[in-house]
Amino acid sequence: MFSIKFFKSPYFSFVYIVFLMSSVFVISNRFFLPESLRLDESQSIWQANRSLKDMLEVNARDVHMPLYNILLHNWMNYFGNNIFTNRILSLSFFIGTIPMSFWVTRLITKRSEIGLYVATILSFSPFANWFGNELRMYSMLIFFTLCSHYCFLKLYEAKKNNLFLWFNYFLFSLLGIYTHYFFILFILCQLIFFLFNQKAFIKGAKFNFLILYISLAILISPWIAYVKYINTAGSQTPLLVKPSTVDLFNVYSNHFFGFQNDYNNSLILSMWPLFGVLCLYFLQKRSLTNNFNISKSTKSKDQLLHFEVVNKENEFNLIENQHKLGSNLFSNKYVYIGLMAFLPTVILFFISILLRPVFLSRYLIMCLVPTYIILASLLFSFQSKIVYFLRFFLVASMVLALFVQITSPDISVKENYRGVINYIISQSQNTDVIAVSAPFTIYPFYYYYNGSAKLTTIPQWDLTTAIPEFTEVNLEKQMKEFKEKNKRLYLVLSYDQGYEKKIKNYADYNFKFISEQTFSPKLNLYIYDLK
Amino acid sequence: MPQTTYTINTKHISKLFLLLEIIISLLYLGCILFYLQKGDLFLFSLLAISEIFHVWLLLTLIYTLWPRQIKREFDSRITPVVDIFITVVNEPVEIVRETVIACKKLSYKFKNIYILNDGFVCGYEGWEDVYNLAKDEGIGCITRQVPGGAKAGNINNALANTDGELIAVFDADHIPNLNFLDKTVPYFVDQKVGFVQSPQYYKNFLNNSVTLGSAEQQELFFGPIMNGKNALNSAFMCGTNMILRRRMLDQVDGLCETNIAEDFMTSLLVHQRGWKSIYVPEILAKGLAPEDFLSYCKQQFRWARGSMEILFWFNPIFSKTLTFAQKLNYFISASYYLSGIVVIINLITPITYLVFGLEPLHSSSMILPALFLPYIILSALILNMSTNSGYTFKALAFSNGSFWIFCKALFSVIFKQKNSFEVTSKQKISGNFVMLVWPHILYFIVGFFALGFSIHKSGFTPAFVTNASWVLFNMITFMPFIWAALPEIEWSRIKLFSTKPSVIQVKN
Repeated sequence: MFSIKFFKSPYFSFVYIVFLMSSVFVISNRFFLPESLRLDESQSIWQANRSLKDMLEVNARDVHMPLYNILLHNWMNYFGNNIFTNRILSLSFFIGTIPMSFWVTRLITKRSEIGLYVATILSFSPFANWFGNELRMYSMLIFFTLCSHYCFLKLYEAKKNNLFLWFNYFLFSLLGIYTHYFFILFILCQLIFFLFNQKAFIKGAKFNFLILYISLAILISPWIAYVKYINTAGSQTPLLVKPSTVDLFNVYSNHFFGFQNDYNNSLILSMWPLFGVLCLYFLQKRSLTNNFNISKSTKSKDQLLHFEVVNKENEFNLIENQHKLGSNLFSNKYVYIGLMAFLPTVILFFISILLRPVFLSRYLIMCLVPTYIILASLLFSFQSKIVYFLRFFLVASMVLALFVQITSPDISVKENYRGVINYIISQSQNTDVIAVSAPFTIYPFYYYYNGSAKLTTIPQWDLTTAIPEFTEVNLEKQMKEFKEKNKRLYLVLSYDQGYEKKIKNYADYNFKFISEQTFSPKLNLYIYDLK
Repeated sequence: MPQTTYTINTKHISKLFLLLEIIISLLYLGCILFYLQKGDLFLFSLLAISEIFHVWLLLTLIYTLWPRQIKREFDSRITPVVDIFITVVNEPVEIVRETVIACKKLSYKFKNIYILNDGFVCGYEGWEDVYNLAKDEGIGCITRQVPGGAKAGNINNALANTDGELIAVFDADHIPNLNFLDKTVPYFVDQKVGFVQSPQYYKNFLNNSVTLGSAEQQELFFGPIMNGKNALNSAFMCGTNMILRRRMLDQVDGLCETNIAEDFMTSLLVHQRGWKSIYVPEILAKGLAPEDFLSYCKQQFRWARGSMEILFWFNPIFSKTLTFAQKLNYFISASYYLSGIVVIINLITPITYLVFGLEPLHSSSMILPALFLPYIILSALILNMSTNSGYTFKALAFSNGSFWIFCKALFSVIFKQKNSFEVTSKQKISGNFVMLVWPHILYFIVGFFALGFSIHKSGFTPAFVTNASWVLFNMITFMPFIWAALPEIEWSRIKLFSTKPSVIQVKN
């Protein structure tokens, strides 16, 4: 019915991309959009629900840039405060990322089939699907990152000054930075690439980049000044620990296989020697570069001619087997995408070790598509039955990982706050107290909870100021107050900030334990009789 | 072309990239030797030896690849007389005829062509056919009457019967391009140049798995390695496609007849006397790769044995007249064949964990892979970039799979066993060579047994998965080698490991 020509035509690419976008929507609609609100999402809703001025203020105290919340704020004004419709905002960016990944890959590899392959693995990536549906800025971040890649690579290719391209690059850089602080890392990598490849850009690019980066600095300075003015940035953030090498590998394990339970994840990481043999297997015939470069310092015309001949014949390549892609496998565009896939991870890892722990795989979502592009380019750079199998195997294993991520109840990132809150609503009375720790886990309660029992946090926190420090004296004081005024204590513990055990021990020692229930990994409800 | 002195850069991979690989490889080695908690001391010692050797090979490769400038004198006006020697033992006449015709067509005028016919002393019937061929083609034929010294003896005998200033040597199957002498003779304007070597190119590389594997192995040696050696005045003779100065040979009493790798040994002696060597990285002659697995193994054994003889009995490190670079380069080339022992260590280590629970290192973190993977990725990139993607997984698998041959060669050198020089067969020897890969098959059997035993004992633990992955790593790297040893019909049906190009162009 369809000829091979059709499969290589832009029409097929278009149809296939639309198919992928629809598939993502169907998967999201069926599995992700109806999920319980997670802590981070509830925080986004809580922030976006406020007036614009208040929202900016709480945002400045938080660790994130304000663009996503501003968008969400307006989105909620139009479509109402409903998790399903709110998540559609993130999903729209994720769906937009699919054709962008195709275009960026095609721009680098000059091959549509690799673009389609990258779009496929992105569409079925458990990691991308997770954050593509989360009420957070990550799908927006990945979208702007890809737009920035596209513009930057176009600038790299450009033979003459194109103001429209420069403007677009500037715009997406600005949007990217206002989406997430770590977009600066990404710009830093682009700057490094530019510094090493200045000659490949058009004349005057150095000046343009200088002006552009100065303009960016000027435009983000009001926000930085505001954050400084508020002076409590990061005071409400969860405690992160210094990353280990395991966390480093988890980033890429998450990027390909999403979030799995600890056992599966450790098995995946334990297979690292096979990755080594895969690297060696990729030693295959593909590229052509010169072994020798004749020195330009030689003067005579005859000599130069001779050297040119020698140079051409010096290409000692016993078996010439040059694929179309091969000739540019080590082109600078691959160096660029390689930098984008790994350098931000390495920089963030060392920042977390040396300065302050900020290492989370979701912050490195910017590296997701570049990693896919590198792997896909390798998988398409030569032909063999094994490599066909590997292409299929990668897609199949990612689909399987997506399925496991959706269905498995013991995935650590799953947070069933809706479940625990509904349970509490059904059980509690107005004489009871609900105590939530860590304090910032209160956000989902603001969304779901409409019961009559009193709601508080340990340590007590009003959401507008910095989270108070935990002390055992204050804990005792707070618990005594509970005992005096309430019949039952519903203790909801999640996101241990180093004092969860102390709270639990105090309650166990001083109150009568009634029951406990786990709603999702590390989200536990303990019920105590206070009288 | 008038006399010129030109400069070429061996610039290929950025120094920054090479430096990064040096740092990562040293960190990796340091981590294994000093950082990680040691397990079983004996296994740890073996692992340490193996990893030191791997890093040594890598660092020496980087040393060879390091970008340098070379100055060369080149004068196409010089016209010394060249004696062309075509060495023949038992090769088919038609193959020899092709080479003779090509030599006659060489555009360089001042040449005399001789067939060095060793068929008589080797007792091969039909040696007279080659004599008749020489007669028909109107070229000289020097037939030895007294045996000895194998190929080197044959050439030395011819040296005594000829008087050309330069001697070009071709194996019977290596057909020179028309411009072979035009491209090599002008270098002899520099009176210190002792010999000029050009690459061995296998025109039959696509014939089968063995020819392809051999050809792809050559890419690394005749590509970046010889280019690097050239820049360090350490390029050595490779037995064919070379041109030698008679005065140089006179000084070292001809080609060395006491070593099975006469070319390697003679180069060492020549360099010791202060002669320069030049490598021309252009395909100037085309020959035949070993057509069958048995011939391949014999060739590898000969190279390994010859190189290790030098390592053990004429160690270049102790030479007083070689430069540092030359000492190092000869040492590197000769010590490469010790990799057979290292492969055995790598095979044993994961099996000991699976069966006995013994491991050389204890590590609960991912620090080892965090260093190993960048180390191996960068190594693969260096191999790939330096050979223009010529060095392949198949070539690596062939090198790895030859461990048993290298070990046998080591054994024969240590115990001074006598091995005769056998010419690599130019015709395919058919048969099933599975017995030549029995150690590899044994590893598969032992490996599967160990995997089964370990699963039964402790189940799917992360430690099991890591060690099982190492066993699989080894098995996967053996597969192309085993495949090549199987009867042809079998492996040609299932070309799992052939990565045939979509477009193939052979350089003319």
